Amino acid sequence: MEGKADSFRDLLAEWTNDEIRAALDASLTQPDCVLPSGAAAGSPARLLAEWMRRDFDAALAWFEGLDSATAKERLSLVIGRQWPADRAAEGLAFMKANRNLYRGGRGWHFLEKNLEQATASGPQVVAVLLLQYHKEQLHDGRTGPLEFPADFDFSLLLATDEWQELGDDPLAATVLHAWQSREPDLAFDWLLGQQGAKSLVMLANNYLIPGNTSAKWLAEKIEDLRPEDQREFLDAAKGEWIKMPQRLVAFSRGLRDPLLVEEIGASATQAMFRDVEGSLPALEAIPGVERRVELLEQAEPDESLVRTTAFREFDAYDEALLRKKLAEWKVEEPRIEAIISRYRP
Amino acid sequence: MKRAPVIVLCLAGMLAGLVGGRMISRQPAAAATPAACAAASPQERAASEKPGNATERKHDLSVLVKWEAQQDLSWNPVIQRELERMNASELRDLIVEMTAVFSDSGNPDSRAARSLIVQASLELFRRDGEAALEWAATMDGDRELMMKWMLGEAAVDSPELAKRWIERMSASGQFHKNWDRGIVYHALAGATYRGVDDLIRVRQLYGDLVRDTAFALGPYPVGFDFKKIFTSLGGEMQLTHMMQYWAATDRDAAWDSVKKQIDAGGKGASYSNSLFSGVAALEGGEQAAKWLIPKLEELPETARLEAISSLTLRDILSAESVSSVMGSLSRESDRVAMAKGLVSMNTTMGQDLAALRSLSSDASRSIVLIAAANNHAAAIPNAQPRHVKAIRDYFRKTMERLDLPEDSKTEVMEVLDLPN
Repeated sequence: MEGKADSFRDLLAEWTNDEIRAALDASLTQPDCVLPSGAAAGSPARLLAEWMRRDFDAALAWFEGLDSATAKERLSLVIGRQWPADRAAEGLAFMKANRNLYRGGRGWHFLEKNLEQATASGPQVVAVLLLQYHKEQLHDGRTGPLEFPADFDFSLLLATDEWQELGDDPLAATVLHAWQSREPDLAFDWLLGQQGAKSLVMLANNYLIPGNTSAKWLAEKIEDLRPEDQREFLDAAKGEWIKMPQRLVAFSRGLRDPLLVEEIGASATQAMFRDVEGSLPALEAIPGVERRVELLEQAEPDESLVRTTAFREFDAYDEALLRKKLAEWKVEEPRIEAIISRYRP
Repeated sequence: MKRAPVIVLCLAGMLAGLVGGRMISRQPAAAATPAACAAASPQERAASEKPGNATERKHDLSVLVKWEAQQDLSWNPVIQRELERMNASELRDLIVEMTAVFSDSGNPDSRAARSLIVQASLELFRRDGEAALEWAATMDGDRELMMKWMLGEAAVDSPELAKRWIERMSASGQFHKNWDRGIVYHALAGATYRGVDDLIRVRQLYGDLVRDTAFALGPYPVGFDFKKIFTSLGGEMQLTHMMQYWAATDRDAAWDSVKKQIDAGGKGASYSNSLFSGVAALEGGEQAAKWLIPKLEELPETARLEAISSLTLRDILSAESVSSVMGSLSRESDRVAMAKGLVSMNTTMGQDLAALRSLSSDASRSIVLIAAANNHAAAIPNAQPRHVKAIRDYFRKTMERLDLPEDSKTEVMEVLDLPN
């Protein structure tokens, strides 16, 4: 079995490094290679990656010698991605010396490789590195997933002074997600104890967990919280999830408490101002049709939450879908019209 | 024992490591293997159409361009060969069986099953044509998944058939919003490859189903008549990618068409970012600025400001390019207008600082920063405290880097001093 990268490597198997370099040079002035609409937009990055794999130093020297800042910027991600893990520290120095190429989180590969190397030296070394990233804002507030060794002790990392200084930097969430994927209950308890119930919202979306079942798992945990913690969590979560209906839906699927199901369903009527199709399943989690309809009849768009980025206009498709659903629920025509008029812009 | 179940397990296992791969091809089947794609540049592509060409043995860029064009449509070749050995009945059995696996989200092979459904659906459509669509329309399971891919395949060569089925299945009310988006993309990609006349025809056929962002995305065949498509549709649609490619291959012709549209009162000025980025992709921002900015400077004020505003969109310009463009603008008022479009805490690549540094005075910098602060201030009353802090920190740090006079700093921060 072979993937696209392997197949490309096969294609180049008989090529010399000089031929790869010549093709790379040629690609820089070919519209089909440098524009996203070109027929071979992926070729330069693939060529550079293969050359870096064969002769890293020569490929890097070629990259550094490029006159065109535009070409450098276009290929800079390949440099980070293919940088050898065993030369991670050197990579970090390179990234810091070329910050203009690695703004906006584009240097994450360098940071990731250094962090993953640091995990082998223990939590204290990781903490120092995280704080360095934080202070120098090397990640510009953007992160990706991290791999930790199976025996890594997260509780020791979270007990360091450096960790406290991270505050709500996204780097902290990245580490906590890694911990959640290993020891979800410990991560949950630590967050609840250290940062309060509202901080648990971050545990609802974790792609490190196969199938991303985190929202459903979290719902079950939230049901067991003390009422005041539950309230703090729900107020924070609803504020965020009204913009992310898929999160509301996933969370509602884990709920058993009818009152919580109804509260999340009510939020879904808000979220429907942004996305009818995506939000409806959370409303449908409420068992009684009449209650669902009552909530729809009371729905008022909260301008500050609803009409922000990614707002989807309520269009003919949404209207048809909502009408169909209400008809299936055997709602009388005047009530259907009243609900539709609430949602129609 | 039937063949399908045996192969199912085998294929599902083989696919498990592959499903992260690209699911949507960039290019339609019609464009996958033309000899024209064997060469790198449009000129070379034209030359490669001559008989007796043997680019496969060469070790140069043209081989890779051809490979890219073929790869984008090729699924896992091992699985494809197995599917090709199965008859239509076996393919249908395989799809039904994989549908059960796919619909069980807890099944670790669920994603691999999805890939198999897609690939087998495509193969079934190639065998049975519209009969495969009729079968998919009535079977249990994820009809939308199968129809999307079968119709995507159909749309490349038969946009009319695909449109008829889009209407039929949309009317059934069973599919998700925008389920037809990929099909329309394939119809347009197929038409693009056949040429401008077909593209215009398919655009008319599909009407409102066509979105600007999916129209004329390329790749473009040799001889593609950019001028004709722009003259026909450039006023009603935003042909961003097409204009970028045209500018990269024939900048003066591209500019002439844009200029004509501006002179006629159309929206040509909004193409300045495509013109710039097309040239910059090949020659860098400095050369692109040298070529484009003198042309923009001759435009009437309204069109000129629209063109400048267009250059500030969506990270089109790198920080270096911002410096090049602003250094080429002769009017400080134009530089201020451009900087206003670039200074924001959402700017990621340092364009904001480059813009501010390119202004000729602290007074201009203050004007731009106050305007930017006013934009951000609108969000403060309803923002989370940490977001408010981030807004204020952004302006504080930006002004520190610029070493602005204290009274200017105070004036900017006062704009942000709102209750939260």
